[in-house]
Amino acid sequence: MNRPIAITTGWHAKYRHIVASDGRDLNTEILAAHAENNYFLLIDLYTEAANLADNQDAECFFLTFAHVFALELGHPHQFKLQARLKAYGRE
Amino acid sequence: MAKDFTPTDIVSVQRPVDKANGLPNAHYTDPQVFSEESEAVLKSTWAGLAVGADVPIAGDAKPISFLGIPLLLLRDRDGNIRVFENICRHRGMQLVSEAKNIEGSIRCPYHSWCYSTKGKLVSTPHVGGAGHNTHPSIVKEELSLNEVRSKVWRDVVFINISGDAPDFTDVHAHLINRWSEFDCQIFHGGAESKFKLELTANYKLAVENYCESYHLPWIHPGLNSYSRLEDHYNIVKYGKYSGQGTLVYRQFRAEDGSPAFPDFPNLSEQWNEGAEYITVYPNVLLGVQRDHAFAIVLEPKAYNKTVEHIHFYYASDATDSKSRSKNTQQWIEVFEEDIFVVQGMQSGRYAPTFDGGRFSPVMDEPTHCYHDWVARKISTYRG
Repeated sequence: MNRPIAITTGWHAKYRHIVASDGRDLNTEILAAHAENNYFLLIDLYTEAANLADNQDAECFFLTFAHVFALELGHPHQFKLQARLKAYGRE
Repeated sequence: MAKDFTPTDIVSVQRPVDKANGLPNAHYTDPQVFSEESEAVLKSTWAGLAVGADVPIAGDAKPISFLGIPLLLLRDRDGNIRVFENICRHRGMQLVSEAKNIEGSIRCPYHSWCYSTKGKLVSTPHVGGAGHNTHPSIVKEELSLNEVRSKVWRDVVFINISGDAPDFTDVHAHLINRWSEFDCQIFHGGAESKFKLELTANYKLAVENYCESYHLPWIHPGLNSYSRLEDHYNIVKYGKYSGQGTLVYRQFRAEDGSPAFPDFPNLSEQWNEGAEYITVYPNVLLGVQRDHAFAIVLEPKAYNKTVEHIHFYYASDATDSKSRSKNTQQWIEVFEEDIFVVQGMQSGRYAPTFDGGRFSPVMDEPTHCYHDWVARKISTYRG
């Protein structure tokens, strides 16, 4: 499966079990990165999840996490992540 | 204030020194009086909170509880020191729980609202629903962190909690002018140039002991061989500050007998053997000498608990580490000699018939000056 599963009820359930194009379970990787407070990795994983999203809401949901962690770290990606959210009127 | 709170009688404190009594016992032993006094004396004025060296690098943040108020000492991206209430404007969550460097933004650990190091609210994730990070009712410009007025002088971070005190430079103009020759860049000596002492005593007792030289020959006999009582003078500016000075200060020497530290630049001859030790009311003890200075911030933990945060400063950032350590150790011995006095006076304040005591008009005027200032602040607060 190369696309995320979009469950339509509840925003917690809606974005779970995202599978990357190479078959990795992004959800599991994201949880592991959260457990390790690995914010650098979380920026990448959430950006990847956003790129895989099949709808704008899901994309912006994941972009928001990537943007927030980029803000916290002063990561240079914060600007392009913010620009993507702004383009959708979400930031 | 509880309904049964009875204000203390402080009229006798404000009499001339030869007729005055010290502050009543309750100002040292009663939590309710401490609470009133904190409003009048510590929150309405410029109180010492910390030193700039506590947050030496841009982005450094240190949470500090001051009189129970959660504060955040922060050096912003431009290097300026700021003090904020350490809470998110969203649900009041504590923002920073331990000292750290803020690399980018301050992220609230609850809902991840983010603030810049200047306190500006920069992100409100999901505030308008999942993936919607804005909402018309949440105006970022109106929700910056609440900043506390602060002023850094001689690296001490002073704060005015009430927000309505006259400017620091106006309040302390006389002292700033008095020590204008020391108005130069100073360098904190680093890890070996700071220590803290925990006292089971009210913070005012540390001030009272620091202000006067009367106790020196008895409590610090090591000074008697070269710094006799008659070599000291009182510093008394009613309504402003007080302390003591010496006419026989001797520089700290290295093992070879030469001065261990360079002098502060541009000092006049007055300071060749002169040094002064002054309390910046209400809770900061400062000392200036030709080759090093120090700052002691008294943290009032409770009516009967105080932490002394002691820091040493030099004219150069290239002084010898070993000498700095020895200098610190020498001062630790002096300050530790004062602990039993300060704590002994705290114990004494539970004697029910003690009337605040009397002052030697000759030797104790700096202490009376401080009591008088505290009493004035309380009188003003009571209206």
